[in-house]
This record gives sequence, structure tokens and C-alpha cells, in this order.
Amino acid sequence: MSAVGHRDRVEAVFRSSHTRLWRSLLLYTADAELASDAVAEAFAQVLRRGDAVDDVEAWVWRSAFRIAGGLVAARSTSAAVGPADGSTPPTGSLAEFLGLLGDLSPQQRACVVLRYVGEYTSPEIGELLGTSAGTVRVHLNRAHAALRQAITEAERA
Amino acid sequence: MPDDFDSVVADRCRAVNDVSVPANLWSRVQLTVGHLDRTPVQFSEEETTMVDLKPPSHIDGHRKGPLRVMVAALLAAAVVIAIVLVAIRRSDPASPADQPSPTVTVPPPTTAPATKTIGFVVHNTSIPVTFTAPDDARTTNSLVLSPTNWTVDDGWGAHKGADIGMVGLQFAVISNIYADGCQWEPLAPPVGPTVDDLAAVWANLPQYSATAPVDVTVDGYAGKQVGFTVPDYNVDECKGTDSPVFLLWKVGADPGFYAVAPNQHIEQRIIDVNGTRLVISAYYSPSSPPQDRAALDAALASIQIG
Repeated sequence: MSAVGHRDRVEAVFRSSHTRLWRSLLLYTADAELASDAVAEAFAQVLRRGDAVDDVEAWVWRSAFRIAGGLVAARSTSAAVGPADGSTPPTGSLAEFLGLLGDLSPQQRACVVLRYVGEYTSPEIGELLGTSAGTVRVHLNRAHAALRQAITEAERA
Repeated sequence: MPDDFDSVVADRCRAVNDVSVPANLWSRVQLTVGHLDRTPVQFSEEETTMVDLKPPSHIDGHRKGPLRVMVAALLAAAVVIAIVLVAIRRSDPASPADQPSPTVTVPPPTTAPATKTIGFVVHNTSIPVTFTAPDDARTTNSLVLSPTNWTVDDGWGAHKGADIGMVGLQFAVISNIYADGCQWEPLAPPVGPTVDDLAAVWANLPQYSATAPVDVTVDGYAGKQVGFTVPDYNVDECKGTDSPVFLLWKVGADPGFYAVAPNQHIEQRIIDVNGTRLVISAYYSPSSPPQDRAALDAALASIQIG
């Protein structure tokens, strides 16, 4: 496949998945700017790699989450949710939910957003994160337990 | 992993659909490409599976160059090799006198495998625990669960592996077990409150082939140890719509702990910690690498409570 063909393929994946990907990363990082950085970096890298990447969509999702993980780890203590260019800052129940997600471990948070926003199954999440479906289920279970407790406590307050 | 909380989380997540996505994302992609080498390069199969863990300097000028997965893999490999060497030497009995001397003498290791101490308060308790894990153990700041590294789950334990050979340990207060893990049917009536109650319960479920409980002490806390093997279930016949699983025990009101695979072996150390029945679960499979089993044994031997 030519470089032009590869670029067309990447653009098609971008058009079909960048909304879900960006929103997943927003929930994962709680930072619109980091989400945009991770999306841009992942697509830029897959463009650079050319035909060497077979499954562009899977590669981009996996890469974007790894990049975002690095950005989150390096992020300073400020974790304010800010608007990216042209985006609306999360408010209300979403801002509250971002706070709850922030209390999960990164693995648990990634599994949650990949399942509920990315709409992937546990085996697919396992493929993306480089782990087993069983481990994904464990993370989802623990995330559910933590969120259930946090939401219950919030409702009592 | 559908459960009664599945729809609640799904509803909460849907709120993100109200957030507008930046309109200039594709422009940012092209801008980022501009900072990279525009010429497509040929990557090996291995390289195409790698990705920069951290963004390059055009995103964060304070950071050095990209740190690649390969670096971590090489470091992990070095540690694993060190563990294997030490494990072999430790398990090697003294050579009989009538055996020929080896022609190559391997110098004894001068240092033990590097380890780090992991510490946290056990989930939903006030019990602090510590244990050692290989120095390359990833903390919860790490996203990717690498089969070459131990992963620490804060409040729960640590594990290594990404498939049937997974090893790990978990600290939890088990509230009940599943009489039929495949169909998610808890034991009824629930297991009693004492250490002995829980230690004996698996023996009443013949499909687990449980060992007889024996006395055990963990960091001065007395209890019972019992081992069992997860039944040879068919996951496709188990409950769960898109992600069927075999449940083993409940933690509080939560569904609890899943089996990684059939025939997984679990050793339960059930101890009384000042009135709380704490269960330390060590799990592995017949296919678990010996070095991982050795690291698991080392972690178990290093447990400190309080």
C-alpha cells in the first residue's frame, strides 16, 4: 500500500473513532488538553510508521492510552480539568464523576472508560492493554466496588 | 463483566457525550507530524508493537527522549535472569561425591535480586501490610500490565502475568465463597465468622480438591492454611453475558475474586488480625514460571502486618 493509501486509512480511522477516543481519554486523564495531546501524538506516530501497522485503530487506541498514561504520571500536582481548544469544560455531574474516576487506579480507570465509552469487551480491552481478559474483569470488578462505595457515600452526604 | 452496577457506571460515563470534542484535532495531528520525521520509516514487527511511553519533547520540553517499552523489557529480563540464577542455586542440593565436577564454575551471586517493599492498608480494613516484590514491580501509576513485571494493586495485593500462568497474592476479608462459581451461586447459608469456619468450607466442596487445614502463622498472627485447585470449568458455560467468569469468593457485598483459569491453584492463609479474619491468597497455575513462583514465595515470606 502506498503512503497516500496509508494516510487515507489513518484519516478514515480518525474520522470514525476520534470522538470516542478523545472522550475516553478525557475520562481517563480528567484533562482535555492531555486527551488532545495523546490523540494527536498517537495519530502522528501511526502516520509516521506507514504500512508497518496493520490494525490502525487498535494501534492508535493502545498508543493513545500509553501516551496518556505517561502524561498523567508526569503531570504536576494540578489536575484541573480545563478546556481544550474549542471544547467545553466538564461541569456538573461529569465533573463529579471525573473526581470519582480519579480515585481509581489507572488500570481500573482505563478498563472503565474503554468498556463504557470505548465500547470494547473485556477480551478486547485485554488486547489493548496487553493483559488478559481475566485481569480486565478483576479491574472492572474492583472499579465497580470502589465506585459503588463512593457513589453511595456521596448520595448519603 | 455485567452486574447490577453495570448500568449505573454506563449512565455516568454517558455524561461525557455532552462534552464537545475539539474541532482542530486533525490539525494538531498534522502539527505533531511536523515535529517528527516526515519520511515513513520501516519498523520491525517488534517495533510496531512498541510505542513511546512518554511524549516526545515537543509536547513536554522538560522531559528527555522517549522511554520505550523495550527498555523496560530489557530491565525486566535482566531481573528475571537474576531471579532464575538465584532460584536455581538455592534449589540445587549439594552435589553427590560420585558426580563429576562441573567443568564450568559459575561464581556465586554477590547480591540477592533487587526487591522493593510494597505497603498499603488492606481494602475496607484498617490493617496495614507490607511485603517485598521484585524491584521492577509497577505501581498503580503504571497503566500497562506487562507480563514481564509485577503489578501492584493498592489495597489488594500484587500479581504478575497476563494469562493462565499468572501468579499473585491478594489480601482481603472474604465474606463468603461461591458454592457454584460458574453460576455465581454463593454458599448458603454463608460461611461462618471464624478462621476455622472458612478454612473448612472448601473441604465440603469436593470439586475443589482442598487440602486439610493446617496451622499457620503469618508475622505472629495465627490461623489456618488450606490449598485448593479451581475446578476444570468451561468458561463459556458460566454466567456473564459478554464476559463470563468463574467466581471464587465474595469480598464484602462485592462479587469478589474471579478465577484466572481452570486448575489455578490457590493457597489461603486465613489469620485472625485483632478480630478481623484476613485472608492472604497466593495463586498460581501449573504453567507459572518457576521464577515467578519463587518471587511469590519470597513475597509471602516477607509479609509484615501492622
